[in-house]
Amino acid sequence: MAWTERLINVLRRSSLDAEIDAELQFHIEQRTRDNIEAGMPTDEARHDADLRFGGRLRAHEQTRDADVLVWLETIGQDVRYAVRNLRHSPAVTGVIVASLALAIGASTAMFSVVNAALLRALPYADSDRIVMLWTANLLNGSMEQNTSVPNMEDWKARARTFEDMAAYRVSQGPLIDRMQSGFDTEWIRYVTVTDNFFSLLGRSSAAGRVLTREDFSSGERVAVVTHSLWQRRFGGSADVIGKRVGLGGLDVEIVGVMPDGFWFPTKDVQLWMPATLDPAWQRNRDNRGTRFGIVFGRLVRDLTIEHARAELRGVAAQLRRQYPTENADLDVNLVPLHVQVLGRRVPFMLEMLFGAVLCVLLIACANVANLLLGRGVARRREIAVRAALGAGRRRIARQLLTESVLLSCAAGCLGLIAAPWSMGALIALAPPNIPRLDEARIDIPVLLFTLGLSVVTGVLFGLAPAVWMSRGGSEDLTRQTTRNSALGTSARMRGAFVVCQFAVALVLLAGAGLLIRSLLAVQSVDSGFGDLRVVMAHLRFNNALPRERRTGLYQGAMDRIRQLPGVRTVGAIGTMFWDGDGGKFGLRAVDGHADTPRDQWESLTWTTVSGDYFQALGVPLLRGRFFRDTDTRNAPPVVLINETMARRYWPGEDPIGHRIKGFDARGTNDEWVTVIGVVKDVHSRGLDRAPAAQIFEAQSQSLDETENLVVSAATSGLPETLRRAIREFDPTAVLSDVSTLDDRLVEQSAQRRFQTYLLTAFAVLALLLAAAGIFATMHYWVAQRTQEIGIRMALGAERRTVVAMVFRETLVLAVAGVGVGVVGALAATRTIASLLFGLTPHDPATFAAVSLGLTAIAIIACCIPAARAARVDPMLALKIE
Amino acid sequence: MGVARKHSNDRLQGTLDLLVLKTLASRGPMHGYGITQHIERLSNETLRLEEGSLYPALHRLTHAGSLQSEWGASENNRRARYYSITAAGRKQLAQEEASWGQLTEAVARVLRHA
Repeated sequence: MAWTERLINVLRRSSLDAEIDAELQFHIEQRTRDNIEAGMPTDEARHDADLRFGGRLRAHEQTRDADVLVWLETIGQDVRYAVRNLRHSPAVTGVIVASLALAIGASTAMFSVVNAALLRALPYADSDRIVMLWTANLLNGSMEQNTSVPNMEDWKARARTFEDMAAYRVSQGPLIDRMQSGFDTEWIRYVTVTDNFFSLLGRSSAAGRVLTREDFSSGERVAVVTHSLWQRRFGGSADVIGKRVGLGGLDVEIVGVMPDGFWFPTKDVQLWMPATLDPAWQRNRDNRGTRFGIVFGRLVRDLTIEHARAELRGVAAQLRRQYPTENADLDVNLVPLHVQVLGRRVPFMLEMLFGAVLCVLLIACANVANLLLGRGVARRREIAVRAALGAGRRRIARQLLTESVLLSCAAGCLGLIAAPWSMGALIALAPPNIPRLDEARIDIPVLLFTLGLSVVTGVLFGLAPAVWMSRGGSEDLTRQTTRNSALGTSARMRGAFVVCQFAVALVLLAGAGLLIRSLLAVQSVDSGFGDLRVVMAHLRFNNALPRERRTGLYQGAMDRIRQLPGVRTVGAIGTMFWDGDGGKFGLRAVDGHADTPRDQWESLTWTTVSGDYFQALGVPLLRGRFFRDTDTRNAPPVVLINETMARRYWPGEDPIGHRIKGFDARGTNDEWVTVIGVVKDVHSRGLDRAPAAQIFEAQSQSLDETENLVVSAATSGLPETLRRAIREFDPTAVLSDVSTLDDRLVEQSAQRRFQTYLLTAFAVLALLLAAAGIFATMHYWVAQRTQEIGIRMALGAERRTVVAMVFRETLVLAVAGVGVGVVGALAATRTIASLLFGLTPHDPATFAAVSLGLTAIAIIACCIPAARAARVDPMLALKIE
Repeated sequence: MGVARKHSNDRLQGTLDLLVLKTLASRGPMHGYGITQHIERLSNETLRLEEGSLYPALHRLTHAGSLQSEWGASENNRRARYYSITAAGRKQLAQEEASWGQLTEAVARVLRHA
């Protein structure tokens, strides 16, 4: 019985018991039968069989004990033996455990992040059945638009693939607690939700209650808050239930607190209240043309999203035919909730990094296997003796495997101890867009992962040495030829390990090299902003106020800031940076141009600016003029455009004085606006994406507000003065996200930096381990050939020739590894093409650099073995045997 | 190995092991009942085992590597576990036969000359 089988026996007692029972039963029946054949009556035959057999229960138990005890005893023996052996060579043991602990620790930290972000279920009942349903626009390819209430209700009524659908609308506003003095006004995001919101998510409250259907019909002003808001603002006290707070001009009563860790749709949403309290709901309740909010639904059990997608597409097509005015070009886009939460870039990045760290672990395993093989040469005599004493091959292999698993488990424990620190470093380095990173911790799945990884690595690196050494054990000790051929096998095996290590290291290095070059390329892109020290901030006024009043306040605040000491220029913009959901737009009309066909539409943004926005940022005017005070609501409407926009519509022409109309083919704004100036392009979609075409209009002529403040100043202490000035100006105003433009741009490439740093760290680790691997291999190589080298020297070979021999051997291994690695890297880097900027995944310079670098490292690593070979004393070497 | 050594002090146990090993060495693979019958027949029914005590010994010898076992069909087509002796088992048998010989010889000498 193999020991694995015995392990299964222990775990599955019942099957072992059944086997023993079957065996004993067979015996008794056989005896009974023979008795009957010998002429006994049936009863007597059975009685005699039982009598002869003795206590059946006792026989059963003793048999089982023999099975289980023997197994436990031999395992204990193996472990004791392994510990004794490992203690004999503390240096090798130390090196093995340390390098494995490093690799396992890194893998554990990485896995805890992957587990938190990708694997752990979202905090909703059966969260994998929850799907986001967006309105998509076939016209411009915009995939994530809000949905009108009547459309949502039609989807819900006609779709059989969904159990239920709910909608919410994200709002934001100042949270005001009038009862509490010294309560800073805090700008929070909250959502207004339909009546089935909480029942769809399948979670109940931690205190108080969730929103019920009655809240909706009664129109009660009630709200449920997050656990974190409750802790932060109300000290976690129980009397929060029934408390009234002001929010967006409404007084709402808090009726419930959700459990810790519950959030929806995003973590920054702090409060939920009935949609019936939302003015947009009242307005939009029956209007198919206005989009209330975002829809999500719960799939019927066991149905896939493909089923739902096919069905909903059909429903959307029906609605297009049924309501051609409101629903023309409208389709539906289904996105699984977890994809929506994580986005598409984060999972890919984490998978890539996780793969990279496993590669590092593989290299570490190869190192350890190498060391064990090396030690195995020394242990061959001991093993041969054990074999001669009657130990079976399997038993010896098992013995050696026990040793390696013991090693890897020790390393796993160390790695686990170090994991909190490495996790902390990882989280500190991570970009803010990994949604659930803060939930990363060492929990049961992570512990199981580490345990499993330790055992698997132990078996992985122990297998080759165990098989090789146990095979050696059955051979005759005295036959020199056999020994040499066995050594040859071991040397070949070790050479293969080195080649693999170099190949894997090269793949990681090539990936890291490509990412580093991309990062450098992105960082050297000219953002287009003239002055990166500009201070930016989000300034908002109470959204309960009428719009005119708010824009008045905004102008007043900007005037006030302008007078602060050291301030040079102040401006503001509606949206400064665009993530872009890929929507493409055309203009309704451009004078002197035919309509642009839809398939030629491209990304286009239309933004409102106020004050001296461009001047503050140092964005130069290339043609025409900036906005003036005379560009008022009553004056002819004018816009500024950027270079990309000018190039697209008026290539080689002067765009000044040309007129454009509306935004898309069904734009409501049907008046001509005149281009008065062209400003330089800025990278408003991030440094790694080409600037979009942009149109800017003045706040004085626009319907939109500008909330993003930009202040250019000569002083450094601006953020504090700014905060004080705003607080004095209007205590209900909320100033947030104060930072410099430079910081903001740096933050935009946080993910790129994170993946680059991490992959580079893994690649460097791989490089070091591979260097250690080839060092150890060449070290043993020289040690094994001491005699041969001695003979050569005695026959007149120069030291130079001997050194060349070592280098030649090293180069053969390194070049083979690099060769295999380049082939692997050519395939592997193609998968990270989307992460690269300004170079192809097969960038020859990067490949050449990492190949040469790795080869150079190999040569450096074998300098010491080469020197050792050169120092061999021919006389001593010949005396060894 | 260790386990076998531990039990080899136990004479009775050792005797059973010896009989089992010898039976399997001379007769090839057999199931437990077959071993019982064989021992009884050859000893002219003098050696009557408590049949149940055979099985712990068979399992112990299997784990010690002296025997190996596999499930097969019996003469009358029932599922039965067949035991056979391994190389290590033959070595053990040789040792035990030798020490058994010494023991019986010693006992015989004492009985003759006392």
